[in-house]
Amino acid sequence: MAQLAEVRPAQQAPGDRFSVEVRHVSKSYGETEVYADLHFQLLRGTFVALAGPIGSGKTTLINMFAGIERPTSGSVIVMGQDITSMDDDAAAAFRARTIGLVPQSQTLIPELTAYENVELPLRFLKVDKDTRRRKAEAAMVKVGIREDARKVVGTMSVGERQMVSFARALVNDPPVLLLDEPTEALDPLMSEVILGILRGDNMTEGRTIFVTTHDKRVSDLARRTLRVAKKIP
Amino acid sequence: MKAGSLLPRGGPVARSLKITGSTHLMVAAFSAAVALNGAAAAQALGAGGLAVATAVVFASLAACSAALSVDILRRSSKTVADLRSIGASSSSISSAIFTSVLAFGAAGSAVGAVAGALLGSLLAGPALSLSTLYGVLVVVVASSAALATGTYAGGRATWRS
Repeated sequence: MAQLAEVRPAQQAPGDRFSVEVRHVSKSYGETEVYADLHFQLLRGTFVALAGPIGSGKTTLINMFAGIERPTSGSVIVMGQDITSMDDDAAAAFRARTIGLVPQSQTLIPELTAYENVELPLRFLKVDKDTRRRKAEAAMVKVGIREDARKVVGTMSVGERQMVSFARALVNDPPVLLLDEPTEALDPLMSEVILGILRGDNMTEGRTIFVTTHDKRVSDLARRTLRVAKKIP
Repeated sequence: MKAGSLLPRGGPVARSLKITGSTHLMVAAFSAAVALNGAAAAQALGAGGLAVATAVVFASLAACSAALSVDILRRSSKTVADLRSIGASSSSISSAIFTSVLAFGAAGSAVGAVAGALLGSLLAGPALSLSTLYGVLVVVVASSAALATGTYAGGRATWRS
């Protein structure tokens, strides 16, 4: 069973509200217990890193924040809404409105262009065409891939795809951004680009960023660092 | 040029599910073939023939479209999960399949039914009349209803499982 420890505690500011609250969450896969009675909060507008070894349940935690996986018991409250009590369609709609997700595994659609991938979440929110175009272009400009808009994702490099994932996560200006190992498998130059985005985004837009990583450069950017104490057997 | 590229591609969600011009061509061609046979039989055999032909057309196209819907969702299960992770509802995914199958299936069945009525007239002798038009209309409506019913049922069964 994995346990979380505070490496760098958050500086609690009175009156701040939480963007994510994990309330007595337990998670098991069959006989394997991943988390037991996990209880913590993320303040709005903070950058929180979760460090820990591969296979320690970091992705499971991100997926529970996003409502992709459900806890065995307990609840996860995101921006005041209990995402664990929503049905699959409600959770998907909530995700589209509230959460930007850059998953560890590739979830872009390889048959579509970079632009089509970036605007896809807005289609699910039934955003009109002009607004979709404006927001998708703004997100692509933000991560520096405007000129790659017409490239088919299946032909792009790992680093380029990661940038498209970032743009897609930011396209609806979500208050919560979840990043699962964002610099893994990237070359140093591309990692630096990602780090630059993270610095700028957190400083200028005040969204809550929760990132799982074993890259010290990423965790050093965080205001608060949690560590998963041990690997799940 | 691939045969499938003769027909237009679907929207981004349909293409994500690997519904291509080839899928559209297959749906249109199959619907046309079934409707052609149904309309020809109806023209040649009269009112009784029309009833039997309509039932066969409905059953064939409903079964085909349900199977296609299940196949698309199952073989694209990772894509479906990926789309869900960025906010796609089950209805937005299903409607992409529904729209493709219904649009191209109905078009194919309309062409097939007209061709079938002409073929039936040639084989059975009677001249084209108002009842011919009626037969074509019945076959096209039955085809479209079958495609819609089958696609919806296939999608619903897959989401439930």
